[in-house]
Amino acid sequence: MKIFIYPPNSMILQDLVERFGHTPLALAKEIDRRVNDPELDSPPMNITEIDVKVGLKYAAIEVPSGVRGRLAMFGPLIDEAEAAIIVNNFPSTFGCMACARTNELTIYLIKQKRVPTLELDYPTNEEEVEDFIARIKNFLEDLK
Amino acid sequence: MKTRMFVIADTSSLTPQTVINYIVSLGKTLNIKDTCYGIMVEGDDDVVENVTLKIREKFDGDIFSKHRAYPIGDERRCRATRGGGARPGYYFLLEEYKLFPAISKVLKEGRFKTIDKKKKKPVDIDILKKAINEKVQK
Repeated sequence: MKIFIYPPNSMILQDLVERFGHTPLALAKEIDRRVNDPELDSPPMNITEIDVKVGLKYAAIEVPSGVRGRLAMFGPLIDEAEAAIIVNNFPSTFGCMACARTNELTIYLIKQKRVPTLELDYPTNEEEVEDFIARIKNFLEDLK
Repeated sequence: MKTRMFVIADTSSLTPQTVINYIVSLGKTLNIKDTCYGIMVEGDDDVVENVTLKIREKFDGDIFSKHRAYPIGDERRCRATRGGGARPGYYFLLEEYKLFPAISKVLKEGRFKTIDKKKKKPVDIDILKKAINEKVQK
């Protein structure tokens, strides 16, 4: 099954989803398609005005273009998702990856889709890591 | 064409060279680069996926992997051409890197046990009323 992961570029989540036999829907898939395109319109990410229009499918016109541009990348992944894993309080979502409104809208869109979703908190110690992996494992095994 | 990055957990005795030797022994046509955190592998989609599975089988919880969008040595990402500094995405990796030893240990030991977390209950309304009344009366 195709599992949307949040944060969409997390190595931990991507690795665990693959380990337990599913396909992660990670951000690299969307970026790969853009940056390895022979046409280089706007390096480094190759986000063009078309993407901002695509973003309109996921967010209203009043939403800043930066958010719409990001959603143009996350959106197609959410559309494909058959299940989702959301990790809250991820330290790296506070900072440069953190366009807070995009993150909020992304989680909102996943919840609106009503696919099986697992919501977890970022682990901070070994006991929590064990619980974190066990919950992901159980969730992914139940999906099969 | 697909690029994958492999990151070795901090606590592991595995070295990037060991992983490279293993990949070379598989005899596939791949472009490999070793880095401070592990290695990067580039090649045809199915070959890269196949090699990833074999690396996971061989090194189990010692190594973590993800799909990387940019090709190896891409000028838009490579520090050599960008005048140094951390590459974008490094801080995210750094943050996750701290958790790899614990994840690696759990995966290797096969300990998959969930903990029942007690939900924090809100303060009882009677206690709250009593506290307010005490304050107001004073």
